[in-house]
Amino acid sequence: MSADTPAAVHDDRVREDHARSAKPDRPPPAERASNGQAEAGRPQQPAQALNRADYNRARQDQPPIQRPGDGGSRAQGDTTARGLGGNGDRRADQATSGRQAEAAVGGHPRPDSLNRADHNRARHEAPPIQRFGDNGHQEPPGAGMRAGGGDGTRRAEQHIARRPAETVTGERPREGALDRAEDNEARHDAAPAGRRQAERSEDGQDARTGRLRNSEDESQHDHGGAPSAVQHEEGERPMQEMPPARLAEAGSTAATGERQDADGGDRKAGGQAQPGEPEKIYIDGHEIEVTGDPADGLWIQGLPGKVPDKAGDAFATPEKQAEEKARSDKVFGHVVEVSDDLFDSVEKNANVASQVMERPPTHAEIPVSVQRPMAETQYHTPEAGSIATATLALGITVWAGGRWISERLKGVHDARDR
Amino acid sequence: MPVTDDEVAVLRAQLAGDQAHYLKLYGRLDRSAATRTTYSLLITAAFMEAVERRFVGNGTAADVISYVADVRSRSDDAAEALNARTAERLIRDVLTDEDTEDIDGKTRGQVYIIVLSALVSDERFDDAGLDAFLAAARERADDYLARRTGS
Repeated sequence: MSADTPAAVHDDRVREDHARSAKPDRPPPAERASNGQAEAGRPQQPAQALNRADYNRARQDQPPIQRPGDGGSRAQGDTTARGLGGNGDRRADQATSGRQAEAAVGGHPRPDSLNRADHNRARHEAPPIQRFGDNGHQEPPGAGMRAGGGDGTRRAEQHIARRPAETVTGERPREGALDRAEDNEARHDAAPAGRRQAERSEDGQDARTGRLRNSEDESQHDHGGAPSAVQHEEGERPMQEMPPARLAEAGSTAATGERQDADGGDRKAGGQAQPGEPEKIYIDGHEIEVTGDPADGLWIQGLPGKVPDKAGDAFATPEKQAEEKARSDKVFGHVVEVSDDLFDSVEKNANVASQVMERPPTHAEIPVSVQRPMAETQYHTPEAGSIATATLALGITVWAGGRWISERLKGVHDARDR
Repeated sequence: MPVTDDEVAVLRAQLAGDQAHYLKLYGRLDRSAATRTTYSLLITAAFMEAVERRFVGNGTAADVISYVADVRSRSDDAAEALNARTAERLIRDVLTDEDTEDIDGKTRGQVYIIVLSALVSDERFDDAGLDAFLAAARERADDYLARRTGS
């Protein structure tokens, strides 16, 4: 054991304290036993228990138990302490306090045991635990995930496999499930794997078949925010997710030309969106902005849940592609067998086809009968007819009033004359 | 033999609603067996493309039924020509594993061209959008033809 380790320093300190407090006329039992003077003239008293001070002193004389961080191989000790080893050290480390650790080791608290500060210091001095992504070869995230089956693969697969149950049922993640940080890590790790998987798909010649392509014409993708498949009520069976073969060409204006270009050469490192150059793709009735930034997450076609508005990257799975291709081949196969009849039928129904392109009015029109066109009234410009009518009415009123007044006056005068 | 530009132009004229231009181009189209096959495949591919754009991801079986009823209600001729059950099966054939082997070519042609025209009309494509749509359909048909020839 190294002399300058925290445990050794602590042991020395405890020994000094005991040396100061111990009585000089009463040597420790172990010392008495070792020099042979203690038991020579006295009968043996096996039933007599040691007092606490003697017991502690005896324990101090024994060599201390090696602990994680005390030995030369700290990393090994630390690893053992973290659960890879066995025996008392492991139990001690699993204990939550110094006293519990002591109880686990010897059954009694020991004065020479590590206190919490020393224990923590020893742990901090130990090399850090190797975590995923910290290993020495600095493999790029997700490299060899499918083939190698590393932790990242498992995490990504767990992540993908876990999502349906959580998304559909809305339950909280089970205990032990990936937390949010791991979830995000898995998402980021899965991106290159999905890309590589797409590159290895089927014929292996078109690296972009698994990659959702950019929509060069965004005007055709105005479909509004339709609900995702999982949002449908139970019993209403949503149609399958966007077939990957379709995904690969989603929204591509010059799809044929682009594919020909891509077959022969590199296209943006396998079709991945570059950061700072957001692409827009059309999928499942949504427009997704592919930013190329891993922080925006990854969207894999086929996963349940709402299609995001923005994603770092988007992929289609080879299984989906194969499934879609098989379905298309089946439909095309039927058509080839009856292509003559189909061709004639298309010709005959061209008129009906043009009719359905013009929608009928969606509501009944109620005809309103108007006998003659009505002139719109100008409220602020009086017409000549209106002025004449008003003048005539005013004249008649004045005349009638004058006549009434004159008759009344005439009556008054007649009465006065009488 | 891949899909030709002439065949794409014929279908484009029809889906753009330019009946006169369609009839003119269609009259020029040769009636060879190869052209019949490739043009039929082009229409089928366009039908599949349009159905996927409309229903995949957010469509249900109920949506398919409603849509077929909507198309049939647009004209008396459409209601007469379009069998609702057959149309629904052919749409689902694109989306799921519906078995439509018993549907003959004449009925297929009716459903494909009528429903395709309705779907494209509802998409309200502009010129570029219609070109993109037809390019995707053409590539799909060419892909099948290439694999068929190679196998």
